[in-house]
Amino acid sequence: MTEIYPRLSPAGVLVRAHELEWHNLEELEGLAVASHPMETRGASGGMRIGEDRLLDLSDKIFHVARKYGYPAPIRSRSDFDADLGELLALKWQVPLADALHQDTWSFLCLCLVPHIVAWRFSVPSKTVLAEEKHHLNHFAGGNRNALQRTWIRAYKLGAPDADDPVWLVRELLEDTLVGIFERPALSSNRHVALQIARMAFEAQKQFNVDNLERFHREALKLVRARAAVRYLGALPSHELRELLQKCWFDVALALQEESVEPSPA
Amino acid sequence: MSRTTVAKPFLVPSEQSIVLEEWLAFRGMDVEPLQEHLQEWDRSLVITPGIRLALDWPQIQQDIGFSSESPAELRMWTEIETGTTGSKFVVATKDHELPPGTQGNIELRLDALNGGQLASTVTLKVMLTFQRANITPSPGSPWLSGSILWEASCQFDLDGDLRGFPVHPLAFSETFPGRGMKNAPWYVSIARSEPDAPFMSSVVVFVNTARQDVADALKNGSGPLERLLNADVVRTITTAVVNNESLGWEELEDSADGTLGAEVYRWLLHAGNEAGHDTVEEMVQFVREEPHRFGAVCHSIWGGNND
Repeated sequence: MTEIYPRLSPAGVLVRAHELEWHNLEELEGLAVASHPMETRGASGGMRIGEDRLLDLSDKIFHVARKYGYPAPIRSRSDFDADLGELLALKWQVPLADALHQDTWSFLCLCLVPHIVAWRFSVPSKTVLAEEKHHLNHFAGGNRNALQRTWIRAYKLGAPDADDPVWLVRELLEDTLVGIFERPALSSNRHVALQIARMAFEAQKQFNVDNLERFHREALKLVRARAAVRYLGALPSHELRELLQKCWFDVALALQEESVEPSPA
Repeated sequence: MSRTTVAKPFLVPSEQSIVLEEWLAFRGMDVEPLQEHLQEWDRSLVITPGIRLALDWPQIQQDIGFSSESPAELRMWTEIETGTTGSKFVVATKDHELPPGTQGNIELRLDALNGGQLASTVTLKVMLTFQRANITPSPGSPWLSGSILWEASCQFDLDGDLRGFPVHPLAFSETFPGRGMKNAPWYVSIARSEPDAPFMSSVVVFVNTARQDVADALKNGSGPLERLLNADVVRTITTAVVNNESLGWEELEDSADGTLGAEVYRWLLHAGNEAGHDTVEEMVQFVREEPHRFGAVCHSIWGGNND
């Protein structure tokens, strides 16, 4: 039977954010909890996940963090994110119905592992969390949530049978992953997201460009523009691949032309 | 509940040749119109959404530069998308075969909704796409496979009764200590202000339990205070969304139903009529340049005695 995870609504996020502010990592670790008075659960049709299971998940997340230096400064953000995504999406397998609900991630970040989130994003201990949105965004559910962003990347780009199931997540630049996953038109269809990510990886091997971030950013804008008039989910794999290849190729050509243009006198 | 979109760089069917009649919900042998909120939703409940369309196939072919004698191959796709910002996910796509010459009303069934795969918001999409043609297309005709000729979508919520407008009573002196808010009657908090954020889960109104007079008045639906709160909600949310300088007013217009952007767009249209601004673009400018006067406009429209 499906396990139903606890959730924290936006009201709960604010209340919990007030509970957590002004604390350092050690204090935050002490404030981590597996239940909260403001938690809610989704519609029925499953069994409530027990606190012992949540604490087990917390231990596993903690173990990944320790691997990358916790509580000392993080050693490799991209590898930590990739490993964490692998844990959540491929090993632990947070149920889809809850994983798609951002209030679930609010609960996990604000209640279960607030110390890990604060450590990952170097949130200063004097932060007034409820009022500093750029920090709160890493705790509250959404694109920037510390766990949710790693889960969705691993879930959609992961290859469970590969030696490194999250190799593609590891290989792509953070900026490129953001470019794909913050555009639902490119990422909501798993097949399309995977093809785009693979093409970005191939293109960065194939073309010798100075500014990879800009290269991918411009190519993704082109793909987005194409997706507004063509339904990418309807294209057979080879046609989708051709379309993507052309986007990256066109940008590579434009960047090349730009670099050989004489500078103005 | 549904919307169709944007200008395409190729010919598309005229409005009369393809008409969305109704979104449907099949439950066993029963069929009924799909509601915006599915009450009593349960993960084990099986519902199959569907759509009823009126199609004029020969007319569509003619509209896009082909003919019944040399028709283009077209496909009808449906898609079920779920999740919210940060976790959008297409759980099913379906290719529906439409025999050439199809005319009149047709019903398409999407895949059954699997509660274990769905978040609380579901978006259904239907698209007519160009696939290929055996003749050289006329100028302006679609020529690339997958070209979207027509599309429509609808969004609905699965949580039914659980999703009332979020108003939470709290003791402000305990929850927000030292913020100078201990006697405030309410506090409109916006967790997220991106236009595509779901309205119902991005805005929370906290009511101060120390202000029993206010809490009682709101509970009883007392007119003036409730209207003042409404006006404050509209002003606060609109200002928060519009003050994002990278936001273009077109983004508001394109926002899907149920999002902050769609609500703000509707409010701005309404306020524009009252404030003498013809377009939403002008209203966005107005809110940015004269936020205090916009506050007064909100109080005049939503906080006034309009009974």
